[in-house]
Amino acid sequence: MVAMTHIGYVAAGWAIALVSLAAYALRTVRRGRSLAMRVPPEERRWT
Amino acid sequence: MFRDAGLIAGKDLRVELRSRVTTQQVAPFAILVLILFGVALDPDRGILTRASSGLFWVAVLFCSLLAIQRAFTIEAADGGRDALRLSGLDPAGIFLGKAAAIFVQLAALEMVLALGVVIMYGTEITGVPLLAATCLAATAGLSAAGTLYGVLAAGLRVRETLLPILLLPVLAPVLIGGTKAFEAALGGVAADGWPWCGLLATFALLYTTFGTLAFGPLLEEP
Amino acid sequence: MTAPHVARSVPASTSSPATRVLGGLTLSGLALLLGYALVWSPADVAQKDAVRLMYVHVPTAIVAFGACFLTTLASAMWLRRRSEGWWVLGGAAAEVGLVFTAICLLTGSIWGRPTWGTYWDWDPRITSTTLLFILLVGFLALRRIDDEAGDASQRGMRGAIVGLLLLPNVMIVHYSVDWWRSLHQTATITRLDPTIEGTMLFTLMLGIVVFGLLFAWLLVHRFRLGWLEERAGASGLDQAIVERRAEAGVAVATGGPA
Repeated sequence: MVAMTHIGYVAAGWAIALVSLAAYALRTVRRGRSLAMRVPPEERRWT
Repeated sequence: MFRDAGLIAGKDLRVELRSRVTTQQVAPFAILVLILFGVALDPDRGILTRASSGLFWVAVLFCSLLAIQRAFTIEAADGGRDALRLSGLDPAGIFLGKAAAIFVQLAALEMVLALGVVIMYGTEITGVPLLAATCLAATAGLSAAGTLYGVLAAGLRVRETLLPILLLPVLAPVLIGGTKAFEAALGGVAADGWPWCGLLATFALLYTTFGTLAFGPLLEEP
Repeated sequence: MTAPHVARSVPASTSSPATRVLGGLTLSGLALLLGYALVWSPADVAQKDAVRLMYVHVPTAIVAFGACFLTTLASAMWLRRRSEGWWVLGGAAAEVGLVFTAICLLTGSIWGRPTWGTYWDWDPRITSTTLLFILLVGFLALRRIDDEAGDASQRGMRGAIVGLLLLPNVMIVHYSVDWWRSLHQTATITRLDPTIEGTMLFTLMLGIVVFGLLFAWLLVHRFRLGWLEERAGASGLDQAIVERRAEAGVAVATGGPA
């Protein structure tokens, strides 16, 4: 695997993709948590 | 519906005749854009002549943004929008009327731009039927889509910045079609250009139809 | 009514047993995909290892277009039913779709460098995907303004119309750009050789599945978040009134100004 051609590009591309998705996921879940605390559980019909 | 359209179109065009915004502000802007292109691209190496089709249509797009903004600003002032809603006019007619007025103004601007391109870029006119048909179809599409998105953005305070990013991606096919059709006409191979004209006509038809249907509900928005 | 700020035994979040399962599936799928994409699948003959970026780029493109479809569908359903769920779904799908579109563009651009020697090429797909990106940005910007504007019964029409037009616009733009660029076809390497087979095809399919799952997971969370935002907005005013009255009650009791 270390002998991969264009390893820099492949690594950069995948890293950007995964990091962005993880960051977005984290942000969404965090915002969800903080809002969920302010909303009564009756409104949260998924738990 | 068409009678109402006529009323609205007449009103808008009379406003324009009296205020002369299109002639005194948008037309000079059109020429200015052509000059800026000339400054940006080397006038001496024939780039301008080769690119004149595309540059023409880009200039038309910029002018249409101004024309559309203007068409709805005149309503916003003095509560014109409420007056429209209360007037009992058929919303579809209002849409067609506004689009028609914008169509006329854009057509006039295109003639100015055509003159500018011929004089400043040295473009030779050939294939006039295709050129004319393309202008008609493209302008119809621009007016219809522009009126629809214009009314969407009209009530909002950020309309000057929002309308361009909403509308221009939508109009990309018009730019592409118009440019390709013009290139075919000016290059002497008009046969290549007619399919693009067809695309423009389809686009115009789609947006005119949709706009007629959607305008009523949209006008109700504050 | 009990104070809503009291901590409950159920943790307050947008998760649920279903999302935990979905999330677990997604993560394991992702791990498998990474294995195949980076190690076990072979390098391409022409593109060499740059093809490994296709296993991100193509799935995210497909998901992005799927998100558009969903946004248009949700807008259409909202126009018919006017229920809040459809409104929230439209925005959620568009936002998650925006993230995937951005990743699609970035990975495509990075892929282009070693393959074509350039970060940007007027390839029909990169051009129309960029326009899609801007269409989504505009849509979300309009929605945000619409959100802040009137009350719940009046807002939404603007966003719904633009959302309804999203998929048609994407399709018209895609078709026009494709046609436009097909006339300029020089010797370009097609983005994805349609005759790929074997492990590479499997990895690609796996990628589509995994990113699809990831989209679903993100969509559920974003939808619930949007739902909560609607609830919080609605109850925000009620809350304020309750608090104001409580203040007034205390003030009267103590004889001070309300």
